Amino acid sequence: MVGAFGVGKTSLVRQFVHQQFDERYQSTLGVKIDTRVVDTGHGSIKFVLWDMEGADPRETDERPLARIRSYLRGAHGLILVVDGTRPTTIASALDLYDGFCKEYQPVPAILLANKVDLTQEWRLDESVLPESLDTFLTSALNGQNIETAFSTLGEALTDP
Amino acid sequence: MSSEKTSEERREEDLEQFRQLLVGEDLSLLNQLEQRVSDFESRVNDVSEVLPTAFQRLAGDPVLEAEIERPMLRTIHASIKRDTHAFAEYLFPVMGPAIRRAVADALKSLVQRINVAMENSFSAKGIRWRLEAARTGVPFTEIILRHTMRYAVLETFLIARDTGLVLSHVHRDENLVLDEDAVAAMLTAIQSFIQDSLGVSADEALRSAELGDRTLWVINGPNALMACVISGTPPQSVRDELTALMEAIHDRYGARLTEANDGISEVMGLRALVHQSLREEVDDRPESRKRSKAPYYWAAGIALLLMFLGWKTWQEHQQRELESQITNLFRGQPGYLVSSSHREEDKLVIEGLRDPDSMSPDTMLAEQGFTGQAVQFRFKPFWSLEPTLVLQRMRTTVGLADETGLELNNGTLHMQGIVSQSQAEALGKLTGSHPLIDSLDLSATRVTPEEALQMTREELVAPVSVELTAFDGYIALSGNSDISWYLEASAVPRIIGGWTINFEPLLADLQSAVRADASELDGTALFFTRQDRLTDESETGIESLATKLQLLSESAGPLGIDMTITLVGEADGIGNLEQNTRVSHNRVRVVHDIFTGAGIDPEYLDAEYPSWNPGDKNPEKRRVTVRVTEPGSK
Repeated sequence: MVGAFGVGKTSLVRQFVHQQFDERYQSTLGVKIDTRVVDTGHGSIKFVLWDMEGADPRETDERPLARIRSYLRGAHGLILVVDGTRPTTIASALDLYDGFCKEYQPVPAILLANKVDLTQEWRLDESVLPESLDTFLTSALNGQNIETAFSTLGEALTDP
Repeated sequence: MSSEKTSEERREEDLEQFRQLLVGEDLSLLNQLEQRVSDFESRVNDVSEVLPTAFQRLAGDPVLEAEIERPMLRTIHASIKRDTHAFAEYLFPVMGPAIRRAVADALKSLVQRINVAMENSFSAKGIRWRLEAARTGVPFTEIILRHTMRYAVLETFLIARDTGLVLSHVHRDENLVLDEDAVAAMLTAIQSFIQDSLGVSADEALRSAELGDRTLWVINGPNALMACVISGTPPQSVRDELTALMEAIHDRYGARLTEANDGISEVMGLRALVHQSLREEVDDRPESRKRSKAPYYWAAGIALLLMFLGWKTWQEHQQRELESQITNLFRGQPGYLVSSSHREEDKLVIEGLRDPDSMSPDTMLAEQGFTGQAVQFRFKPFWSLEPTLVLQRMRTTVGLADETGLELNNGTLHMQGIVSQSQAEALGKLTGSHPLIDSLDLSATRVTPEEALQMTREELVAPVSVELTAFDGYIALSGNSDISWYLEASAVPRIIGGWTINFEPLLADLQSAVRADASELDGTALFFTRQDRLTDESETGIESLATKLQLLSESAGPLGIDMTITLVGEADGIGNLEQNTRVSHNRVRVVHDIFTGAGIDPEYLDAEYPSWNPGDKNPEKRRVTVRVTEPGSK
């Protein structure tokens, strides 16, 4: 799970793995690992989710980016998370994705535009989203589209 | 026959000729080879000839083993699926011994655990471990193993270096199973984090981490890393062994460790290799060093405790015995009726009835030597009809002296000693009214000394000159009295008020008086003229003397004095013997007559004439001397 600060990566993981949502924000330092087994059309798949700390290639502090770069090595899939109320986070996520693809071989990836429940504050222009990525409008608060997103990724990972 | 051959046939002929030119002699060989290759049977024979040798040469080749392993496994799986029973039959001869051995090993391990647990159960260390088990919730045997086991590799993760995915995971205890993927991923992330944060190169990897009593050893390999969760303190040689194991894994499975999703984690050979990392070493110090002294301390403590308990029990028994003796003392005592005895706090409480005239409880205890005992008495008063107490009460009530004897026998109260008349009177009133006393026997009693003296004086009409003294059952009379009174009073033995009258002292006094009188009269001389005529002086005094002698003789006899009045006649010596003799005799006769005339019994009178020496002339000897003597006395 990669993306800028505060886009909801940890909340999405908590909702996906534990079906819980905590309104308190506590930034992730380093990486947190969680796992969940999901059934796909090709059998069960166990997601080992690496919830990375927030990183923005455009930030001057390169240390978070350097850390997650090493974490990304060996990833079988990517989940890019953006905040629908902060359009700038889209560029951060895509930069991270580009950087990954340059350094390592491409892997199946999806993009989650989170916080869709905040309708009043929603600023996302879906036209700027890349068509090469499956995009899902999600809400970590109510779980909207989270299962679908992960199932899609699971299908892609297990597709022979 | 057609003379024309087809073009095809001609081409074939040409080709055949061309072949002959090219290969010539080898053509037949080629034909043989072709036949051999196309002949199935021939090929089978060839392969069967070389196959054993080929296998022999390739034995141990990891590539061959790996390549054979997968189809073999598939074949086995298919076979099992097809006919489970047959496979079970094939395995049956193997399963039995294998199961037995596994059970034996498990039992051996269990017995070892039990032994360790038993050895440590009662030691201070064991108790400490039990508390630790209770505090931490970890089973006691597990605690024991933690402390006795030098080390044990509990879990091993074989993790692909690049992906962080678990290639194999083995563990010792089912309870310790964690989410292997999460753990493996986290380890990988930690490795990366440390390398990045500390700025170390990728070649320098995390080797170990410690948390509580767990140690994590990471054995790094080129394609995978092995993370071992260890309990205890393993020696460095274990790391060397694990490193060697890792090398063996890489040697065998090499590049496959980096290939994702090829089922490497399902390879049993890999799992078996990784399983070799689960080693342990139990504390196997020599018994002489290992044996704890705790059992001896416990034995000593238990012995002391038993001794203390025994001593307390003996003490308690002794106390109970003592209390029983005390209680029984009162049970058997006249005037006491014990209804109950029990302990209250630290005191023995005895309850019942007590006759006030009985011996006091404290006195009883003191007499029996039970001083210092904590005893409380709760007695209510009652009157006992115990004879001893009846008599005691009587003594107290009537005021009898302690020396007065009381005995109750068949309803008769026998008394001995001093009993005053008033007391006798009081006792007499009891007769018939007391449930135990029908009659009174005072025959062995006597009145009080005062009463006895009074009674004696009155009964004997003793003169004042007679003194009465009471002592030891006797009233002794002494002093002076008329002989006649004495003779009358002492004529018969007398017992007055139980006192025996003793006249002997009076007799002695009277005798002394008579003897005194006799002594006074003894030697009285009566003088005569030249013949046998008393001088005027003597004639005047002889009447008085005769009277006295007469009284004396009358007193002496009754008083038991054997008295003799001897008249000693003498002459002056003038003249001859015959004349002097005659004169002395005459003189004695004169006095004798006067005395007998006065009433003196002639039996008391005796004469005596001293010898006369011629020439011994003494006018003073014209006398008769009166000698009053007792025969036998000097």
